[in-house]
Amino acid sequence: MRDVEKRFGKIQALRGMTLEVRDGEFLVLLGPTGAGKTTTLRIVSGLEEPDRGDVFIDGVRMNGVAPRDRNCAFVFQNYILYPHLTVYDNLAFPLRSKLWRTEEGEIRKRIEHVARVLKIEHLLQRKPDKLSGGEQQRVALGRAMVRNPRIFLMDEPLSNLDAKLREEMRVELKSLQKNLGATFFFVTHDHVEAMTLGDRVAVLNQGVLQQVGTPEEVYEYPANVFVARFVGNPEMNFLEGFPEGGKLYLGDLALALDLEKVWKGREVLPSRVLVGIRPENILLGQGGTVGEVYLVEDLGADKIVRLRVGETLLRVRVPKEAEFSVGEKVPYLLVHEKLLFFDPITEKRLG
Amino acid sequence: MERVRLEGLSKRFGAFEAVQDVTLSVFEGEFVVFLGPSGCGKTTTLRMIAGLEKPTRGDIFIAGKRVTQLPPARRNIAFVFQNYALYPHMTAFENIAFPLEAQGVPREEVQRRVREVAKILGLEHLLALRPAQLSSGDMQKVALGRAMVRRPQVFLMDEPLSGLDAKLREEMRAELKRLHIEIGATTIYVTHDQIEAMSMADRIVVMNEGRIQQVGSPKEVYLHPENLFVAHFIGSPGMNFIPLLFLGEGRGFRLENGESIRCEAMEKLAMQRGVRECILGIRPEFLSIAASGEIRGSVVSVEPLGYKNLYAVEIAPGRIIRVEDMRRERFSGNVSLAVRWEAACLFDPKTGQSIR
Repeated sequence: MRDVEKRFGKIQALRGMTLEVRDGEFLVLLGPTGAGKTTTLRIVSGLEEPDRGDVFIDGVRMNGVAPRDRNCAFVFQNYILYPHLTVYDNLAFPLRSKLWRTEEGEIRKRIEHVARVLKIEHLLQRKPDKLSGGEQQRVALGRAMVRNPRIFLMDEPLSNLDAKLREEMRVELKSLQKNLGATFFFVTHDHVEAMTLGDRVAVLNQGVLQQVGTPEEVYEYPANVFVARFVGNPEMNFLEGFPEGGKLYLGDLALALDLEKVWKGREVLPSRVLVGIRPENILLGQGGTVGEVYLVEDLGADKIVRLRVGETLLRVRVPKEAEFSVGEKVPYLLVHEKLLFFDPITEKRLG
Repeated sequence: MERVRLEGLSKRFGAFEAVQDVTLSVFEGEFVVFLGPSGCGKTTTLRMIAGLEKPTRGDIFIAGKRVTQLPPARRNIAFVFQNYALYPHMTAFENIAFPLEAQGVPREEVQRRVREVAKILGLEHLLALRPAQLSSGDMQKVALGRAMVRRPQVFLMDEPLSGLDAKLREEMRAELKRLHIEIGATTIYVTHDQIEAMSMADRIVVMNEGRIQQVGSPKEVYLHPENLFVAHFIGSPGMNFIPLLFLGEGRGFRLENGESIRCEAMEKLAMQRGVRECILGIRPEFLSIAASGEIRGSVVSVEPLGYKNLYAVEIAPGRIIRVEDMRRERFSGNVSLAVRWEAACLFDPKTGQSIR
């Protein structure tokens, strides 16, 4: 997509959207409700036309090309299987339609292949109501696959599944995409899903693309405050910082750090900065300054300690073995090299 | 001191046994969370405690008094719902004051108690606003305030955070827990979200298909699940299950791929209990990718979470387990996994119960 603009009445859904989905890539478009994610997918598929800008598939400009001639397969959140048809007939349905008119021998061949890849061979003669949620999901995917589309467009396909099944489907979907070598363009509001599925993650907010990068890049080097806050759980800690005379003063914590240890960038920092630090980059039990344990949350695999320092509450991730009690005074240490700096006005990351 | 007691509580809707034989004591000041998938009977149990459903069998005691036949208004409980249920035409103040005014509490005392509750919840500056002018988090706080102002014997909460978006839910979860630490009100809380249960509860009551599966502290249910259901339901992802065949003490266990693994303590346990086929339960963080681990497999996918990577590893055809690794580098292809045996569980595949 190049410089795509889209407006619905007074709402500017997409602004100057330029994004490339590479061949064979699993690209996840991540953003909150109303960010413009679904609009993006609909523009790629041809269900919407952009007001301005171009859409290319395999290098060919698609503006004005009908959806059926773009050969994109859409997998929705509410996968709708025909309840009166068997799985086999559900899979055959798009191929038998007027649009594709495939002969039955070819249909059988393609369904057998897809069923083998999706491990649903034993389900072909069943009706949808005899399938589990995950199996239904696989059949819906299969129905998209039989057409050998150039791109799979997926609009929150896992969001209706319960948490346990979603975790399992994540692994299935990712390994399926690798095995098929297919191009997946996947939309979600769930940052864990985005991180775990995507080869690259594109973060969208209010119609504006914020950042495109590998999951690690987006997590460790967020382009701006929005991305930093949206990705990661619990959220990144933000503190006000004042660089002055070789020191970085963190007013909220009454701390002064050596600026040269925490700021490796070349540019001169503004007189006020926003300093971000992830919960796992604050270490408890070390360092010379002390906070008070305000709350301990056991998440199973690890714990989150909320540490009160003055009026500030820091979120700190600690191993599950660590024992802290509410009210306890604990020293803490910010891992110097993990501090991130943001411009407080533009909210862009510095350095 | 016992605040709520459920004795053999059961509820049938037609042929459907929604709740079966639930017996439980909730103690004064405790935060007890009923956790389970939809349809497990947790909300029905809560509604019976509230008096909104009549049990088919069994009894409910609140503060030592049998209340099974009493209407909700006479049980001295406060119910906080998922959809706040605030009066839209009333200010936050009026909403919180409502239950007191309905009881005919003198005006000055109403003023004092509403302000007191508003202070605890950090709502003082919002008291003049109507619900439509409040954020969803603040609306939920007003709903909480309305429950708190009555100083009930027990707070009953039915998924109070589920209407909030993920970030706000996280914040409210912490605030609610902190509030509980400060005011120490006896609370029974229902959720399907295991993270909520783990992070908030003093004790978790895991339910499935109308029955209690396990009652214990978050640590107990996480580390020592009593059955396969609890082991799978708690944790994200849940516990890994690896089928084993016990070969005899000194000989170890056979894996599905034909190789064997050894662990003296487990072998002893299997011997004592006369086990042959069993299931090894091990959480993803107690497995690690090692140079010479005990279980071999190949990496199916890597899921980066930023501060750690979650691997899916196939250890036998179709048998995929999850492994956590804190290292930044990504491993691929064939790997071997080291097991932290002290954190492993053993289950009986026929009954699904833990072998101890």
